[in-house]
Amino acid sequence: MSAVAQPSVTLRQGRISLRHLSVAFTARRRPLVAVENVSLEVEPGEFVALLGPSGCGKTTVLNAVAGFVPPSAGEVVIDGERVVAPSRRCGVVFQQNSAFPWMNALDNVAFGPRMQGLVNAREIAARYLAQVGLKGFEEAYPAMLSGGMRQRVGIARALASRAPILLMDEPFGALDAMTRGLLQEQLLELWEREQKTVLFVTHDVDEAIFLAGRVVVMGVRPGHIREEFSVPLPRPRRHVLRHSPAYARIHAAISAVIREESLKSFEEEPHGH
Amino acid sequence: MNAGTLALGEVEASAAPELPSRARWGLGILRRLAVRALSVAVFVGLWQAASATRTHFIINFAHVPAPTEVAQAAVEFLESPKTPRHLLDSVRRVLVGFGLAALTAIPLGLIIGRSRLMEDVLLTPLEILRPIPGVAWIPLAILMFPAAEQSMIFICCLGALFPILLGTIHGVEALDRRLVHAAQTLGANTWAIFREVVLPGALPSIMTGLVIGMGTCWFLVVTAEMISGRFGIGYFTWESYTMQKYPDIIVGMLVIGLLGMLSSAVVRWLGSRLTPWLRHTSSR
Ligand SMILES: Nc1ncnc2c1ncn2[C@@H]1O[C@H](COP(=O)(O)OP(=O)(O)OP(=O)(O)O)[C@@H](O)[C@H]1O
Ligand SMILES: [Mg+2]
Repeated sequence: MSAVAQPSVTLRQGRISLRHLSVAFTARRRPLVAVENVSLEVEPGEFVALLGPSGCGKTTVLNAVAGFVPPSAGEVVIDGERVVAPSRRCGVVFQQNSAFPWMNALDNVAFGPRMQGLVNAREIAARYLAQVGLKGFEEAYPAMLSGGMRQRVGIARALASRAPILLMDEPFGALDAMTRGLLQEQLLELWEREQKTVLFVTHDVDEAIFLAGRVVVMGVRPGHIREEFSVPLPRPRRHVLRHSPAYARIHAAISAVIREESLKSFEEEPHGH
Repeated sequence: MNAGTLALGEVEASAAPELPSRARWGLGILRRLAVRALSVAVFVGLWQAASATRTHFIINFAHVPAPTEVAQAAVEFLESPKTPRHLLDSVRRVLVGFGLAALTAIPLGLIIGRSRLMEDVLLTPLEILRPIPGVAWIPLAILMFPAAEQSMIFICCLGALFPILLGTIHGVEALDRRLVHAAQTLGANTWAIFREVVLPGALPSIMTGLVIGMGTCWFLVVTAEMISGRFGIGYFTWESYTMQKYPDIIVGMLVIGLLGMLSSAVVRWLGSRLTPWLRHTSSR
């Protein structure tokens, strides 16, 4: 593929293509298919939410995109290149706290810029730390922070590396409603400003609709894409949006599918031996 | 019982405000110290009595010098011109042996912990050697090295090697893989991951290995000195036996214990300086 022929590709980075992606694990010496035949195209600068009941393979899809787990079939392609290992193209916010315990909050966030050889790494870090509401906690080790604060360090760390793609795995799950709402708005602002591609995992229907331009609902056993919804709500979005009739309609449609899938995951218990 | 303890508790509670809590805390510490001192005094007293009466009941105290004799020998030991040489030689052997062990075992453990291939290549021969106690190496070590000094350092190094190696490997393998993944997505290369993630992540476990290794180091250096030394605290202790200066045996033993305790404390202190992030997690 020649870059000269397609200048738009080099201008806008962050296209994710999942092509018939399957991921299998070995659990208790048996193969366990976590994700089967998932195909999804995410445009550069798009905000896509992955929604689904617990255990449907949301984290696994994200891990495959990040290059943490190899596909058992199919492939993940980012900007025309097949993903074979983790790279700097994806900033990742993990489901549970993954701040480096031996670095204080500032050094955690400065890690990315420092690895990129930026001399003002700590200034950049301080800015992102302030953005997630942790000004004054620069010197604190993760162990001294609350669960939600630690998660915010992880968010700031992923943002500070300025990757074209942001993979977020239930980043606001551990936060109180107030902080969560605030960070959701801030994330949208940042996304509108920096034109990142965001793949955002959540099991909260409201969160998915409020943030994403497209909501991909996953089903269980094995994990697959059940249905896609586009969210034609105007941007920039603010939380008052939740009282509009358009919002209510799409919420009802997605909730119906989610309820069905969640029930399925309770009914069809796997036949254990 | 209930009524009694309840009443007692009430009395204590009403009496408590008369003393500031800090003073009460100090008194508690003083009382514990007094109990401990008394306990040691009783122990030494029993020993004195057993030696004086030459008790022979399972243990033969006929040739065990009394604490008073030991105290006298300790004073002589401190004044002897040979003492610094004995102490310095042992400390030097331990430092060199332990240092060599740490410098070998930590990088080796980091590599083995990170690579399946290296684990098979390097760890397999080491696993075969591991069950052989360090003491069993002494004859071969004497044959392998031209100077006794080198063989003693070798033995000492060997003893510390395995605890440090296993501690390091365990620390690396127990490391949360997501931390390595995070570092990779943040642009860290292989070397940076070793330096910034694997090493600090394994450090608490490495420090545990170092503390245990320091213990085995002293154990082996004392043994090696008894067999092939001309100076050193182990040699001093053994020489006291062969020359029938029995109180010196116990002085030597006490000094060995003291040196072992001090060096472990130094390693622990160093460990807590190197892992400041752990000081805040003890309550979790
Ligand atoms: N490393 C692994 N080894 C074995 N099985 C795994 C592994 N990771 C995930 N699985 C299995 O794959 C399936 C999907 O897991 P995944 O973590 O992707 O779900 P999820 O949608 O993120 O769930 P949640 O919302 O609870 O986080 C589950 O059945 C899980 O048990
Ligand atoms: Mg998950």
